[in-house]
Amino acid sequence: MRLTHLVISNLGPYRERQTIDLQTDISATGYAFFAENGRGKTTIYNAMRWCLFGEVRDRAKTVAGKKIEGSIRPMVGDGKILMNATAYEKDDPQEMAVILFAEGKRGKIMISRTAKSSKKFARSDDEMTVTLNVQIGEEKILSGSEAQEAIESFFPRELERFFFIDGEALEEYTEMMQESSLEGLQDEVNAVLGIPALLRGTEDLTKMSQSVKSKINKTSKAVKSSTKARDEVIIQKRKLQAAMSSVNDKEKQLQTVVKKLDETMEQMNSHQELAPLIEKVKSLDTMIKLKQVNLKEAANDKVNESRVAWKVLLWKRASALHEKHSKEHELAIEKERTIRATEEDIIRIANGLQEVTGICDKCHQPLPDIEAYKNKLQTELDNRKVILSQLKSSTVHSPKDLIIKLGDFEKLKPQQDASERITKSEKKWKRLSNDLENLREERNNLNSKVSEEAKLNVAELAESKGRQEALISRRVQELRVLREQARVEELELKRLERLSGIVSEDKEGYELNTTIGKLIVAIKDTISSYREKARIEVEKISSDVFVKLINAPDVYSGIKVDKDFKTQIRTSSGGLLRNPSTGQVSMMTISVIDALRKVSGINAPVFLDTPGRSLDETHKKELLKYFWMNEGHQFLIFAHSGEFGLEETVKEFKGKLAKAWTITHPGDHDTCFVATCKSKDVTHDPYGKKYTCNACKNEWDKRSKNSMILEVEL
Amino acid sequence: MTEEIKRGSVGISETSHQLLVSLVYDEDSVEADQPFLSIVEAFRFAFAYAYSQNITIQRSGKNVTVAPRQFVVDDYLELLRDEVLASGKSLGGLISEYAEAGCQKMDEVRTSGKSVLSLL
Repeated sequence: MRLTHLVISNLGPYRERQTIDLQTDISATGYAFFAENGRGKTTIYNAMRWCLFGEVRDRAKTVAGKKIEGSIRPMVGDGKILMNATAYEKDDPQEMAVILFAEGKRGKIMISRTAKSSKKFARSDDEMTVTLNVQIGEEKILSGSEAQEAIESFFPRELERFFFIDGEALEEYTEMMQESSLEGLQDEVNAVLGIPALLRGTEDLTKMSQSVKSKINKTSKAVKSSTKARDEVIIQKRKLQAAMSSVNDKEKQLQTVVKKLDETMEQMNSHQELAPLIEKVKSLDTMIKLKQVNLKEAANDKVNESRVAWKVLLWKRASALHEKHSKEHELAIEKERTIRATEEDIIRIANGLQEVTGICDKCHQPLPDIEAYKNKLQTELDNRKVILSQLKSSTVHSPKDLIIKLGDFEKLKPQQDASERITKSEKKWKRLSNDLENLREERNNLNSKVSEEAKLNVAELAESKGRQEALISRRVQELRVLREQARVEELELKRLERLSGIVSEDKEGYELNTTIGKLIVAIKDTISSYREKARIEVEKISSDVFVKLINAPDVYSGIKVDKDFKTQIRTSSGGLLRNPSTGQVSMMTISVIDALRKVSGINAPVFLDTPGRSLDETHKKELLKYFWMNEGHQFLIFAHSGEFGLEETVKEFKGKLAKAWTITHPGDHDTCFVATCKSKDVTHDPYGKKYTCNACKNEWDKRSKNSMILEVEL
Repeated sequence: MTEEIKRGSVGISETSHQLLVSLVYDEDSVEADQPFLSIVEAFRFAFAYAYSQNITIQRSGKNVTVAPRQFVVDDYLELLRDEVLASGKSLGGLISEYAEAGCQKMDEVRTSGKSVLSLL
């Protein structure tokens, strides 16, 4: 891949859009950016990283023997940010962008990453929306994760540090190379070899293996349970056999009783003609018993009613006497009444007779024939006395005596319905008595038709039948219980059989685990083999590079890379260089990094920030000589003017240097900096702040900190 | 007047007594024609029946006395006063003759297969 253009907008000191054109007609691969500190060299370096990977991570640090990854530099916010400070503070929306144009095997490549505030004056990356678009050749524009995947297909992220080399961090690289215990370089070697995928595969396989082992362990436990269950199955089978045997015994017992019952029923059938008679006799017996009870009640009633029967009889004759006495009583009363009336008449007449005066009470005239009248009264009085005498002499019983007599008769008098009640109770008793007799006769008749022996037989058979039916009922119940027990035992047996059955040793699991184990070993062997090949290759390439870079090729034969990728400088005599200088170590480091880059097979530009920081003049020149040797890879350096002088470098590497730029602030210029002008005829305001080129009218503010990238004419 | 009537004792022949005994209710043989709760009741029935029919029989043979406490002859004094006075018999004697006659009829009835109460 070859970069053609880089467009930076609002990053670091670059306000507005800055376009870097890397196209050139010559085949040189060297590109150089020259600038004082703070002008934006590293910003370009970081702009590329941000555009490709979406983040800029600060340099990693090694603390107490452990590598600590650098933190991600924020796009916006407090502290050191990626966005241009003016854009961040003043623009709305806040926006920064990097667009990269390149050419690759698949055609032209365009990568555009833009970050735009999603709200007014975003203050954190969460408030920024990042858009990534990638177009390769004539293919459709990709975005998002697809775009990122496309980038990493030709620029693997794991290999970032081989293409973005931080000269200030060479010591760190060196430390990694010399202290294999840090395993830093091993990661790089693995990345170069594509081993991370293999390692991930190994990890996956290890997880699979653990899963299979877990399964095998489970199966193993299940096998143990199964073995135990098998023992239990044997015991359970015995239990089931015993239960089934009990069921069979009970069934036989039941069959025996059923058979006996059949026989009994058969025998009873042979006496079938007697059965109704026997039943009838039984019924009659019951009826007789009932009748006896009724008859007893009737007899009691009859006895009770009969207590006054004598009165009924007695009254038949006594009633006449009673009537006679009643009449006598009436007559006696009448006679008494007549006697009293006669006595009263006698008294009245006697009194009248004594009181006769011979004068009429009404007219008071003297009565004629007074004597005749007196004689008449006397006669009347005498008659009355005779009558009274006669009445009194004829009296036999006084009414009082007769009342007593009648009272005695009343005691003998029955109640009016006594006779009827007695007759009724008598009839009832008689009827029941007859009924009972008839029933007994009927029963006797029936009994005479059934022999006692037959009855006895039938009774015995009936009794047997009852016993057998009860026994069958009991046996059926027992059988039900036993069958239920057998069913339970059978279910338990099935359960145990299932437990014992499912489980056999997980042969497939074992085989799979063995296969996985073999695969892991194979992969590890492959990795080891790759590493070894890579080590040899890295050792060879880095030795070649080192010899080219170092200024004493006769003294050093190359670099030794041991199995842990610990590197040392090898001398021509075959020994290892003890106490190498900083420059020698830096060259060794750069050699190894370049070797690794080459081994990776990735064809991409290399960016080297502050390339000469740890190198002396000779080594710096050798470095550029080597990297700009026109091997097809673009090699971009971002050099401080103290590391590489612009004019000397341009002069010395003419033909190797494709393009060069200076990065400056407007304030750095006292003359016109427009490439096509370069006039020294400039004027400025009295304060020396604002400058104007009189030739091309270019104006600039000496106070501005917005960096400018100016191409150098080679 | 009362003093003229002799009370006398009440009794029946042994045969009649046996008859009366057989007419006393026994709850173990309810089918038998035994309509009376006691011998006295049976005696009273025999007396009443004979009185109603106005038939008497002189007792003969061994006599069985009926307990006077249970059969109070005075209860029948007014009923039989005239007869007793006319016959010159004792009240108990007259009653006994009636009863004897009644027993004989009852025996006849039973013998004929009828119930005693059919005499009503």
